[in-house]
Parts: sequence; structure tokens; C-alpha cells
Amino acid sequence: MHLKTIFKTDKIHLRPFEEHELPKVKVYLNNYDFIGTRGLPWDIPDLLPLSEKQIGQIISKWAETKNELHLAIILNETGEIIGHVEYDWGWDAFSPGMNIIISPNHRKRGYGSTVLKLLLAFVFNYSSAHSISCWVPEWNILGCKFLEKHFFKDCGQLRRAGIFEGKFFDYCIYNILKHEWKKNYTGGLS
Amino acid sequence: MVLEGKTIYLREERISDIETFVKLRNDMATQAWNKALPPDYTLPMYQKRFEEKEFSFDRKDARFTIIHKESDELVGTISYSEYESRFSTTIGLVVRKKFWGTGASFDAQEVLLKFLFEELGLLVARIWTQSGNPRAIRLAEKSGFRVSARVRESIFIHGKIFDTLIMDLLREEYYSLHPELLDGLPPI
Repeated sequence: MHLKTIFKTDKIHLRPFEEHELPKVKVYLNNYDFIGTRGLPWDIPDLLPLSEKQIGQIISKWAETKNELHLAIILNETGEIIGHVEYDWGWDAFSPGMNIIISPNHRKRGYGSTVLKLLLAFVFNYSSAHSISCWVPEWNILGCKFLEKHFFKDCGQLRRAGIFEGKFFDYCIYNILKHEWKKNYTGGLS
Repeated sequence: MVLEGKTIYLREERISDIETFVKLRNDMATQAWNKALPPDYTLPMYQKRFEEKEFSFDRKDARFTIIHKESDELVGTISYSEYESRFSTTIGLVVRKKFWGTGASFDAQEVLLKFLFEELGLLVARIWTQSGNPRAIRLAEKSGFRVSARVRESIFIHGKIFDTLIMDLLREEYYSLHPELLDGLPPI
């Protein structure tokens, strides 16, 4: 897949967040139904509404953090931010982590699948990654099912990752290997 | 106050320990991490790390030197990091080969765990290791840790591919293994 087309389809495209679009990002991230699954930096609380200052910090972090990629998912037709992706190879480029976040209003429309295919193609065609992992809180059942549907394998849990609605929860860990991606996404060809 | 075990005790890191730590870091056999580090660490690098340790009441990590009681020799270092207040942390251990198989590692691990659960009120302790390190896995299991996640083929080290293992120990599991201790923390 050529880089010219790797982050673009007829319905959506991926691009970095820009500081001037803070109000737009605020609307996107402060959707109450979205809280807890927003994929924020670790030091910013994901269970509370965010101030403009916090949103500004998030945009800066996403732009400045080394060895990480953070891209907004934009709906071509309206220019709306409908999600974002994270790709982190900071600890080891051999086994990076990935996260796809779709706003609740835009789920179950195939955008997640489209973005996942683009991102996997980018990572496996343009880096030395061998395995890619995704971490999903156990209460995000839709997220777990999404990964299983897309050939990620269940690797177990990070037990007691946090507290949600009065109970402890685990993170479910999934990963996909390069040869599994080749077999399931490219018919054996990269 | 030192944290005392049967054969070892844990005390604060001292500048005089650093030379041994440099040797441990540069010994590929004691680098049981999930990626190899170049064995070129220097005394000034460790001195800088030592000097940069700042006083704070909001510490996210700690490093202790393990001392063998009988001989007063330095055994190794044990640490915790990524500490989330009253919730979780990840522990790490490096021990001189001379003390492998002597029980000193287990003793140090038990002393640290007691501190974490009894003093810091942790709800879970974690260890990250890899499938090519059976010694570390056995040691963790001996204290009650279990493998909760095996991230397939995520590590390349020593010329081979291994799985990342996340091992954890929940608070109630720790106390069930230590009936001599009474858990005074109310349940969530």
C-alpha cells in the first residue's frame, strides 16, 4: 500500500490534531457517553469531563510525544472528528501498541474496521513491528468483540487495572502477529 | 529503619553501591529484561541517576539495596515503579549471580511485598518478565504471583522470540498466603 493512500479512503481520512481546533476537540472528547473509552494520555483522568486547558495539554502531548503517533479520524463529508488512533512504539518497535477510538455516535458503521486495516497496513509495511497489541477494559465488550472479529488473539488480562462502577476491572490484552495479518488481510501478500 | 528479612535486609541505595550496579547492568546474564541493553553503562551514568533522586512525599518509585545479613555483602537491588497511590505497582529485581539459588532473592521479594501490602496498602502488585526467563517466573510464583497475560511473540532477545508475561498478585491472594498477617484494609 502506497503512503499516498494509506491514510485516506472515500469516507474518512487520518491526520494530526491541530492546536487551533481546540473547541472542536473539546466537543469530540467531552461527549459524556464517551467518557472512559477516550484513550487519553495516562496522566489525564479518563472518567471526568475535561477543561480547555486539559484539552490543550492533550493536543500538545499527542503532537510532541516521541515514538508515538496520534491521528484524528476525520469524516470527509463534514470534516467532523469521529475518532482517533494511537500507535506507540516507545518501549520496543518490535512489539508496539495500538488503540482505535471511535466516538459513540459513529460506532457500528464500519469506520473502526476501515481505520484498523489502514493502520495495520502502515505498521506492518513501514516498520519492523512483529506483533501489535491492544489493551481494552473488560467492560468495553464492543471493543473486545471488535478485536476478535479482526483476527486479534486473546492474550489474557492485566488483572485489577482499575475501579469502574464500584467494581475492579481487568484490561483484556489482544495481539496480532505479522504473519497473521498477512494471511487474513492481504491473502498472504504484503 | 531497614526492611528486614530472614537472611537479608533492604536499605536505601548508597553511592558506594553503584560500582556493583554498573557491573550487574553490564552483565548480559543478569539482564533479564524484555529487551537487551548495550553493556556500556558507566559509573557517571549511575552517579547521575543517584544524584537526581529527589526528596518528595509523592514518590512513584523506589530502589533498595539488598544486603546479606551474615556476610554484609551486597546481594543486588530490588525496586518498584509505576506506583499508583494505594492501588498498584510493578516490582523489579536484579541479583548478583553469586547469590542465585540461595533464597536471598525470595527473601528480598517477600520483604518488599510485605512493605507494599502492609504499609502502602496496595491492591495489586505486578511483575513483567518473559517466557525465556524460567528463573524469574519460578521466583514470582513462589511468592504467589501468577501469569495473567502472555503477550505472544512480543520480545526478541538472545537471538530468539519470546512471549511477554505479565504476572500479578492481588491483595487478598497475598494475605491468604500469609495467615500470620491480618488485612486491615476495608474491601472495595
